[in-house]
Amino acid sequence: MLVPPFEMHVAKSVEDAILLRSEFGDDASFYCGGTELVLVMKLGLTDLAHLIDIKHVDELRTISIDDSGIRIGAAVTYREIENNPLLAADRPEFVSMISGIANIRVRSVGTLGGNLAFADPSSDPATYLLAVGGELEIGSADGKRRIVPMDGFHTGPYQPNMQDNEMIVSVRLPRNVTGGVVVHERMKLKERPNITVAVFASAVKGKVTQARVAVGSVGLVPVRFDEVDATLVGIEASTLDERLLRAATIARDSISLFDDANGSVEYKRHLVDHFVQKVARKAIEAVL
Amino acid sequence: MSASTLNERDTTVERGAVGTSHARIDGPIKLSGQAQYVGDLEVPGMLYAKVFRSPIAHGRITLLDVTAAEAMEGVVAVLVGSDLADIDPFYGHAIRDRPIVALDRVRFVGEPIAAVAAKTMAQAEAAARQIIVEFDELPVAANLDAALATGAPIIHDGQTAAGFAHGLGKMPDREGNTCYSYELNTGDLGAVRAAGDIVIDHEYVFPAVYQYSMETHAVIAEHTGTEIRLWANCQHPFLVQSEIATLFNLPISSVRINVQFLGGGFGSKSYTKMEPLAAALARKAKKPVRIVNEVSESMVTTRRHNMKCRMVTTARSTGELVSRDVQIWLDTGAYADNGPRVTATAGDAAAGPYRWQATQVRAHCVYTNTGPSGSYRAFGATHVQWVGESQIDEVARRAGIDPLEMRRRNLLRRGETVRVKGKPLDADLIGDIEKVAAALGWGDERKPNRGRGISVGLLAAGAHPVSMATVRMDAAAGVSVLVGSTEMGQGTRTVMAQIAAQVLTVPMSKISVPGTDTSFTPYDRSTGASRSTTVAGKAVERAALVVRASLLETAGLAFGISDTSMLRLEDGCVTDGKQSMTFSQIITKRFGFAGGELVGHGEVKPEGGSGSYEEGPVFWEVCIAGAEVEVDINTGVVTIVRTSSVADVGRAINPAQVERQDEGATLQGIGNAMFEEMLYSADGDLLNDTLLDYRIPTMLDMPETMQCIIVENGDGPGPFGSKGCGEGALAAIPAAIVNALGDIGIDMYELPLTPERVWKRIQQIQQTK
Ligand SMILES: Cc1cc2nc3c(=O)[nH]c(=O)nc-3n(C[C@H](O)[C@H](O)[C@H](O)COP(=O)(O)OP(=O)(O)OC[C@H]3O[C@@H](n4cnc5c(N)ncnc54)[C@H](O)[C@@H]3O)c2cc1C
Repeated sequence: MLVPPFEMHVAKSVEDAILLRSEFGDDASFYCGGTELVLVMKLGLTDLAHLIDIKHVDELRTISIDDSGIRIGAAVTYREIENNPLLAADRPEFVSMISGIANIRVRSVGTLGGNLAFADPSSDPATYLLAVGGELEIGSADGKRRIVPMDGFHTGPYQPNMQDNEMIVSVRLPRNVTGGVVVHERMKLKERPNITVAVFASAVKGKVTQARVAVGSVGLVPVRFDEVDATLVGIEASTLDERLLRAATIARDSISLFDDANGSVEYKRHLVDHFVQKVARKAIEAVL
Repeated sequence: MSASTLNERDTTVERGAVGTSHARIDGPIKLSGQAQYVGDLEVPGMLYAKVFRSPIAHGRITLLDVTAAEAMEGVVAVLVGSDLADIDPFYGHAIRDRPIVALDRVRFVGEPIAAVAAKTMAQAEAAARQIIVEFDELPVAANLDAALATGAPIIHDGQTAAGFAHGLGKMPDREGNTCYSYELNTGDLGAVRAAGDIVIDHEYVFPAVYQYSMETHAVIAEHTGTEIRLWANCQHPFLVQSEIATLFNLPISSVRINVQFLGGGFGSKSYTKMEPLAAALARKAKKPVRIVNEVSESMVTTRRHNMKCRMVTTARSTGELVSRDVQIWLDTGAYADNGPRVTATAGDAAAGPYRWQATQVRAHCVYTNTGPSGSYRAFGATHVQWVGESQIDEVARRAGIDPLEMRRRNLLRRGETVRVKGKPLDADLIGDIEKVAAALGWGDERKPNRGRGISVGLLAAGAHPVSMATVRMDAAAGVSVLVGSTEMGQGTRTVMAQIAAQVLTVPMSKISVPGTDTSFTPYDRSTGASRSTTVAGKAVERAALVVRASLLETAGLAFGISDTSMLRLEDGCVTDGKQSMTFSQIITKRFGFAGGELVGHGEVKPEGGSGSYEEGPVFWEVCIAGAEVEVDINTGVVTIVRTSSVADVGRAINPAQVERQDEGATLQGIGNAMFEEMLYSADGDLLNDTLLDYRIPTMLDMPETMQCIIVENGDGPGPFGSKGCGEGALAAIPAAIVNALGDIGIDMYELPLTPERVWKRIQQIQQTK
């Protein structure tokens, strides 16, 4: 189907974009890389009279790394992340996760902000950010900014925890700390991943002190479970196998899954079990 | 084939002629974006069409109201069933079961109910949204089980009307939803079956898949009342021409079809597809109209048949094969399309090229309430080869015989009967399979979780052997080759040029091969069934030989030599060894000025017999390939590590193109075996009609090594001993992959081999251990 006619408004600032969005209400949407939005429009799932182009807002386009952490503007493309040497030096696993998303066409225009705002159930970045303890900077109509954790930001498929006239301004992630690693793996059978698992682990003197396991792309939203993480904390080489098995069992039994064209619940549960063990093992073995 | 053999070849034959890997002659205009496809064409006054399709799978239309649509801005015409009252609106080359648009009943989700022609595409789409339709819904049979169940909804009633080009003898009447059945029996199954100590008996499932050419179906139609013109991306322009002529009561010559390039076909554009609808809409609008399908629309225009099969193979404990009993059910969707032929071809391929004491094959073509199924590269053979070949491997494992040795012992030899009545085996299968196995490193040790598989089959190729060609040489010794083969990326224009270049010793740069215009291009039955090089190429060779004879005749007169066998063609000249004349000089001599042309007509027709499928085929296309796979037993993910295939082509007119054919077929075979599967709901909705959910192979799915071995035994019926290629590897690859998994101990009975299916099978096998 042809995309029905619409009017394009180029926003000059975050405030300008939010103002336009408030003005046009449900007739409008933010437009960034368009990789999700244009598909949705072509499928006739939405009929929008106005698109608000946020790609040219400077604030959304910058990457900065300093003592307080890493800040990536919402409209920075995946390609720009892939090609950023500072990010590659500090968080190589993040960059490699990004460069495994979709294909080069999507990565050339697709953005982190677009991914997280769309809240597709199959999101690599959302899963990664959950494990690493990432946060989002949200801009609101009252001109205020707030920082919210990734944990809890996706409340359901296509349901980001923000108002329609709010926007993601930037994504924050902590810098790499010594003694800690994040490992990310996905299994992708079609265009989008069928499962994404990311695990953060750190250890002191041969004992795991912190662990965060995030499982995404397989259920309705990326999830993590305190009990799984608690099972991993305290692992030593001698308890690794047994505890990994336990943690994976908890994860597979706790996650809510459904049958669909990507697989049966039975198979998906097995994938959760297998990938949690595999990815957590990699992370923990790297820090022990 | 390695680079060094290519180079050797280059030095032995003249550049540009037969045996060289000449670059595509249509490459430059395609690469520079100048090649025009139907979707690029605009005819003056042309309107844009949007097809309004059925949202339900089965029902009677109780109300169809297009008045609001007709009143919309820019709308010129809205076609509905009642506009066709003055013609017999049914078409179908095998069974005339399909109305141009739904008349009073719909049979699948996506069936055209109406079509809007408007000044812009946006207007046509907006108007189509205003069409109101109501139904009395009927029970739906969206799959084979539902359609074959007792008390199943009957999808077609009334008598079966045979189409004009099914080639299947007398077309029997329908039985329930079974529109056609094919039987092939040899020996006395009941008598020999007990001799088999080994009995392999399973049920198999093959999925519905889509041909997925990059370009969708597209057609521009103009109907002036006395003439219909079509610009279409059809593979079989001449069959479409005669079907359109019949539908609209016009002489065949009053239907003119222009076919330039196709952005791929793979069978999806064979026979008649969107052309009748476009012509009927143009007739009502009294203006040219263009229909360009979206991908989701093309997916319900045609697809490959999904299949259920039950096969029983028996053998002695020594590995000697005894009998095979096969039942096949092919889901042809709501209309037969090429289903009957696919069914017969599957039936022909089912026994496999082995020596049996008895075989029994019963193949059925079944209507369901889903999109129609038709031709898809290597149809029939792809459906059954993996079934039969996995049973051969099971026999081998039970008998403790190496699969390669198993085949050495049981395969047919050259000259043996393949199918009662038909052409005996015209290839060296054992030689071919040895080559494929060697390329895989057959005897080498296998790494853990890796397996190797080989497979052999035959595909009845060539279709009905009727093709014509005209070769014209102008006064400057330029040559144009008029031949109806459709260029759809396979490189047929290049091959035709090479054949003419070889016969006439003219450089490739002086040869042009235009697209087809049925007003000028002589008849060619069809582009498909691996036939173009063999059959149409033979017509080109013959036409070129006529031109050659004219050159010799005139040169002979000029030289005063009446025995033209004393003369030969050499680099654009005729010479007797002493004196020589260029072709231009000869033509000037013949016509008395620098004008005129030499025209040769070439014809291929059945030689002995009627050319029927039963007496055929033109040649048996060899379907032989091997694969090595690796399975991740934790996830069920299967990786194809390497493949090898044989292109047993008699003579490779263009070796690089032969290799590309095998590579493409290999990748498509990987798609069919590993990922592709159209999913329907019980209501008949196609659930995965975009690339996001319908997974086709990409570059990333290429095996690390993909080897194509060209075999040139000079034993083909085509020009220079050639025979066709391009389908064999597709039929053979899924079978090789399935056998490679069997080699690891994972026998699979259902395709595609999705990780979940493989994983579940691994669980099952581990539990029964
Ligand atoms: C073929 C394909 C394959 C893919 N594969 C993967 C994969 O492997 N892994 C994976 O994780 N993802 C995958 N994706 C998803 C991809 O990551 C997203 O499409 C992309 O990141 C979206 O970014 P965008 O800028 O194009 O968003 P847009 O399409 O421009 O916007 C998407 C939505 O977000 C809203 N929006 C955009 N920016 C903001 C903002 N700053 N604040 C608030 N709302 C905003 C828009 O209004 C719109 O509703 C794939 C997508 C495609 C098309």
